Amino acid sequence: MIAGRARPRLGLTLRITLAFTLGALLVSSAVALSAYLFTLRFQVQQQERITLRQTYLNAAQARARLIQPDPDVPGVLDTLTTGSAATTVIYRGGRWYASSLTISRDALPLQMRQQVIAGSVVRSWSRIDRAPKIIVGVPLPAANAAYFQVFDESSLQQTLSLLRTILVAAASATTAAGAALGWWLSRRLTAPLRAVDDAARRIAAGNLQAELPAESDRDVANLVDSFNTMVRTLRARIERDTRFAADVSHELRSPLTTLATSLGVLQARRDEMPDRARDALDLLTTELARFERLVEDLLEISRADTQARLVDPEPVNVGQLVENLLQTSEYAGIPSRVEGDCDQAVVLGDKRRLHQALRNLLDNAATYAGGATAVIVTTGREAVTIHVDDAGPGVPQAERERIFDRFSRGRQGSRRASQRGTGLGLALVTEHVRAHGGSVHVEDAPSGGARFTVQLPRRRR
Amino acid sequence: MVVMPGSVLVVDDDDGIRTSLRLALEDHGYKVLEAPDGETALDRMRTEPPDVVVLDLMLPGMDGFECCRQMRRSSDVPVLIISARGDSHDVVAGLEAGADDYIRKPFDIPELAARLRALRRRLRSVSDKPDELVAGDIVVHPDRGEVTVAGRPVHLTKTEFHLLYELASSPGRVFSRDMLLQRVWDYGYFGDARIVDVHIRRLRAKIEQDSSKPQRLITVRGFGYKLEP
Repeated sequence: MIAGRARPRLGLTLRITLAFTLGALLVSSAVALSAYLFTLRFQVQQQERITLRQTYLNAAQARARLIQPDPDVPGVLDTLTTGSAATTVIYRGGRWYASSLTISRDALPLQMRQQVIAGSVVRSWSRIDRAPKIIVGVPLPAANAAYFQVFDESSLQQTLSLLRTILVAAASATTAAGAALGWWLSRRLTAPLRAVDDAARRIAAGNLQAELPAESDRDVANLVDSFNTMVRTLRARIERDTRFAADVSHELRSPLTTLATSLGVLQARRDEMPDRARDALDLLTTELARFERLVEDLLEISRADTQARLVDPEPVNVGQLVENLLQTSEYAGIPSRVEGDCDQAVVLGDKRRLHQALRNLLDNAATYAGGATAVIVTTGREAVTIHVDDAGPGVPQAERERIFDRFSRGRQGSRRASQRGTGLGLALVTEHVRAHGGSVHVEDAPSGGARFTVQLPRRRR
Repeated sequence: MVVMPGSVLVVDDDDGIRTSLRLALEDHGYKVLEAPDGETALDRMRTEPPDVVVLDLMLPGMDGFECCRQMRRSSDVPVLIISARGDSHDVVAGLEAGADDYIRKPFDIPELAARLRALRRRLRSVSDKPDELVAGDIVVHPDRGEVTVAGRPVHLTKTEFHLLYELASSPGRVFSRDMLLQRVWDYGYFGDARIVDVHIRRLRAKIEQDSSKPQRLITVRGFGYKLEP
């Protein structure tokens, strides 16, 4: 691997989705924009052509009337057929005549009036009362007049506005569809990745049976094959290791039983023995007890390895468990208390394993830290917490994780540990607590010394 | 309730375990008979019936399960099985075969002695000590050690009888497994509830018409067992 962590980037799913969204947005906007511009140009040109032609026709008609001597200009305005959307304005002999009250000379731009009167045909876009208009002016020099026609183009504006709305909607829909397609495609593409991730998680959680289902896609099938092969190899190796540990422990049990039983017979005659034989017997007894514990712990830990989850959990009251343990063991003098409702301090689990976890914590305190000083059970909303405080010097920050490893011994522990502990006590605590879905850690106790804290999920009703 | 140690038959193929058990149990006052395999054990049962049997499940030839089943055909002597694998199905299979309790290797002698004592314990005396306990059509005669179901006599082992006796002492009352473990097997906090479950199954096979649909010995889910009054 390359040194250093790769900079976190957007996830594959998100990237594919984004790319599709962006692509769809670009394409649909371009299409919509060009469609709009094309329509706009076409419509505008067409309107301009129509209005020009109509103005010429009307102007010719008006001209015919206006070149007669002393024409009746308002009469001319009346006779012209312009439709409701158009207004006619006529200039003649310095006076202005209009077919509408709202539009008159002032509505026409000054520059345009001058140009037309000066003899040019002028077409101009303008806004009158916010409504778009096409104004066409035609000079009628023969009649000493100018003819103006104002066309209302509100309907063109409405059409274009509607078109804009439709195009924006279509572009948005296309973009959304692109996003959806991208998302769907990315999900499909990453499905094998997610399946691998899911299986890997289950394996990490202790389910060694997790394999990927067979896959027909050839690219993916290779991945599935190698993954499943890896899982099987791993499983075989783990099973072999744990079976070996279990087998060794089982094989040791029969001779251990004989040893323990024979030692018991000798113990019954301890008082009849000479001093030296008695010392040797005591040594044997101590070491055999430790050996038995080691075999039991090894067996327990290999059992925990093959069986990550609890087999047949039952409700266990932690308060009662603590009380029972303290009352029936050599730790009877240790003060304990339950904070909160004792009836609520119930977890779903294995009484024997919880008992052993707690007992190992007390053993640990007795072996390495001058004994436990308090056991406190606290009932929270989600969890039941057990604190075991001890009288030792505490656990240095650097060793707080390591002491839970198998056969790892703290610095202070190293001397005496070789005489008493099995080196598996705290590792077993971790296994038992984890099997219950809980956690264990060590910190400083408020009273000095170390505080081991076990958190177990509270039983939900 | 002091129980005099009697004779114990130790069935184990391991010479070391057998010899050391003999030495240790003799220290506790037991008369110890030995058998290295199942066939010898069954012979010994006939010639010199012991008060209690300690039986290793792993035997050469006839295994411990079969040996236990054959013993049960002719005897209701308490059988304590020794299991090398206390967590496996061995224990349940041994109990199904008719054993009364189990102990895991390695054990120490005080523990074994306590188990043997519990198996040979007399019945706990019920308050007013009646001649018979009645629950529905089940009648238990504590003094004679006899049980009838609907007038028909039923043969039970000592431990099955003890269990039924406890349940019949308060018909209709629900007994938790822990409570039964404590009263019948003398276990404290850490008895194995499977012992109770298997014995309940064995009892049902003897007192129910259809043990898959119990009418007399009822399971109260999450609490324990009760005998219908």
